[in-house]
Amino acid sequence: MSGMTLTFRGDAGMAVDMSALLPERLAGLTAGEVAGLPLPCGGGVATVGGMFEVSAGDAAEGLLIRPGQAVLHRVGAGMASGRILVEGDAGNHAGAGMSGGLLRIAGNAGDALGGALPGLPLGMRGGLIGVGGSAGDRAAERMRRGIVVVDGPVGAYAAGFMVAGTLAAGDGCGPHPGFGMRRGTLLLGRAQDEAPEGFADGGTRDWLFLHLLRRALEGSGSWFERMGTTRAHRFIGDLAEGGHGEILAVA
Amino acid sequence: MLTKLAGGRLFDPANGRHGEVADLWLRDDRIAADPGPGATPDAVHDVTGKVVMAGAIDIHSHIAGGKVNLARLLMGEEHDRHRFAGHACGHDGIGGDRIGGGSGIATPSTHTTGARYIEMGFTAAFEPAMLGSNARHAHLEMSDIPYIDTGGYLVLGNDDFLLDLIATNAGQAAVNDYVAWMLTATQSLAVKVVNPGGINAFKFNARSLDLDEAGPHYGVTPRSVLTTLARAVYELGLPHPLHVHGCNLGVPGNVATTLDTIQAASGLPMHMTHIQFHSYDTAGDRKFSSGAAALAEAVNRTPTLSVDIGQVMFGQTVTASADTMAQRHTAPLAHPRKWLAMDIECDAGCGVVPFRYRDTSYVNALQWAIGLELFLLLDDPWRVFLTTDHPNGAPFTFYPELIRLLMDRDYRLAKLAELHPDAPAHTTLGSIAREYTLAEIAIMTRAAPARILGLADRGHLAPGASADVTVYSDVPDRRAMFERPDLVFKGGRLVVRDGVLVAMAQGCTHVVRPGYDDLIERRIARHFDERLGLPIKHFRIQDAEIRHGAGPQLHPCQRREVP
Repeated sequence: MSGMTLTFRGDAGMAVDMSALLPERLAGLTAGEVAGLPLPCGGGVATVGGMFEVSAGDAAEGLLIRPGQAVLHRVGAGMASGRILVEGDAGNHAGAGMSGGLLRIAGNAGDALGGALPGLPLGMRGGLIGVGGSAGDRAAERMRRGIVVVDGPVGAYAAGFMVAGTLAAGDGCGPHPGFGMRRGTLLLGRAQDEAPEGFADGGTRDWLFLHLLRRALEGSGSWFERMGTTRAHRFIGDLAEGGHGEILAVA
Repeated sequence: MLTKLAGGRLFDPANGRHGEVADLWLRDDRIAADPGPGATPDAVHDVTGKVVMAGAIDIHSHIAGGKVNLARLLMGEEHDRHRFAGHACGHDGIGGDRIGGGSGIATPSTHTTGARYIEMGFTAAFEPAMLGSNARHAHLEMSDIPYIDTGGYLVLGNDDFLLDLIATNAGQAAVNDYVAWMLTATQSLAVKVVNPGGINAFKFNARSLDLDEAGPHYGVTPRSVLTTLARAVYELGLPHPLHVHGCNLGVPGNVATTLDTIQAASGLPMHMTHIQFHSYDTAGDRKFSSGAAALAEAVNRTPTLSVDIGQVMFGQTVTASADTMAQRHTAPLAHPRKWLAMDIECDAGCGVVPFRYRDTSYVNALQWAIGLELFLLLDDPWRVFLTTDHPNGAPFTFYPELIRLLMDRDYRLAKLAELHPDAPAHTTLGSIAREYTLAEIAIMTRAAPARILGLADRGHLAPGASADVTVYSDVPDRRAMFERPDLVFKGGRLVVRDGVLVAMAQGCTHVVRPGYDDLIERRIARHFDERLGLPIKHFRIQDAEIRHGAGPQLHPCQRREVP
């Protein structure tokens, strides 16, 4: 692509807060200007150029991040539009509070993927996040709208307190899925033998919604696109919150 | 170490000095008498023309304990913003280094609390609502607050043990023993009552409880809780009178309840806190107006009464209170829209509601005006204290702005003109000409708080007092003056120079320990075994737990009889 590329220098780095580097904010800036921006890292501040090799290109066309071994938190947090591609792993809060655009992480994502930033009542509000590897705990926490697709497994409290939206985890999830979930869908690529705590068994059948989801994910190369079936075992919950949410385990 | 502050104007109302030019001597951690001509000071500071005062004392500021910590958690974005604001912790981002880290404005971390206070020349702040069950947590946090002295007021009046004593007519002596035991066990400085009986009534589904209304479970009225506790505090001889957060906080028309509460004290000393929130009348189309004039008159004519204001300042803050009833009531107004409340078993409650006071809101504008009206209509600066009820009315960092509003009429009128256009018609603020003098500010923020808390060696500059000293430049902009002192000494050590921290210091924790009859302990122990989840010996806080082993500073109590 003709977008901008940020390549982490060196092979390991400290934690960096990437939330300032959003495509819509970098649009129109030259590589030199981007390199001069301050970025919180570790206990201090460093410039983008001090940590990353910045290629020429317009971030409005897309932002490619090569993290190497660095721990990049909050990649795409608060993003409203544009595309970010991470060729490697992302840290915590990737896509947290995101309201639009596309975030694609080739490697693994940390905790609170598409979740809520500290103190804020809502998580992701729109857009699409795709993760090639796994994701940590509290993925899609307090999510309001949008789609998060993780090809690998996700950790504990997946879709916790979800208000609406979709989290699709190809290789299942950790304990307490859908805790406090009000509405929305947690789709699991593995059979679920027992109803998760707070959920009631809703039977197995072919769900129209999954056809729609498949269409929405067309071209993303995600696990659900590759999976042939739209038949799933449905669990309804969290019953403590009214039971309008669902966990669908592909049968 | 001998330090000389040469040529300053001393504002030391406790010793009758109102701006006299004199040298001030500090020897180690105490203020010393002039050692005579032969003395060779280790450090001399020329403070000619500058204003020298004792360190300021905040008698009511929620700085430690359960609800403060819950407020920090709820207001996570405040800390997050600080952390990722583009500069590192402990650095103010404009070139000046600040010692240590921490974050937060309305819910500052422990270190930040101490740092922001001392930077304004405050050398003590007291946590006014320490629940017995949270006392250990509060003390651990207070130990962690550097620079300033602290202490906690024990919250009683909704605890099942006390209500049971009152309901079963166990007698004043038993109540006195219980109060004294609790103060000792929790290492507290004073007794506070929050919405007497109301928090307990809330647990039995009452959503309001007026002064003479019997509570749903114990059948005890707030009035009897109030008088019983006020009497216990008086008879035990605690230096600080009963610290009262009354009924009906924030409810329009509550000024009537507040006036009744003053009556209920029937001559016993009482401190009524954040009275701004208790001074609302119901005149006008909006059924919300100022009751400040009536209340100020009642306070002026009751010499046994002292008050602090709980001034509202505009901006984002968070309200944290043990008053579950009031907090549940205001929760729909939360901004941002999130809040929490909890019952604390057998003890009290807790409610945290974020709030943004806006000058374009009629109600908020009037609250601001009512607070200032009270400050200006109360004659005796020895009985009125500068508070914003941090963080409920505003973070304590607004004090310099508040002092400017009190000392500068033109500035005040200019601000009044910026408010919601209907607000000025419902307050007398515009017609009040009074401006506080430096001497009155020194009384209100130094001498009087020390006196009302019984801190004999604080709040003044006589030889033997703790060497807590603040030096300000006398500039016409009083906000700038009080925001950035030239020098602040804590315990004789120079910790702030030109508004910037230059060294660390630690304060101490003040407590009282009135005696009690041991028999009460058996009864309390049974209560702990039957009702609470921990044995009495674990409840009691040891001296070694205070200030990382330094132990508390004790203040004497003088037992007395109600005449």
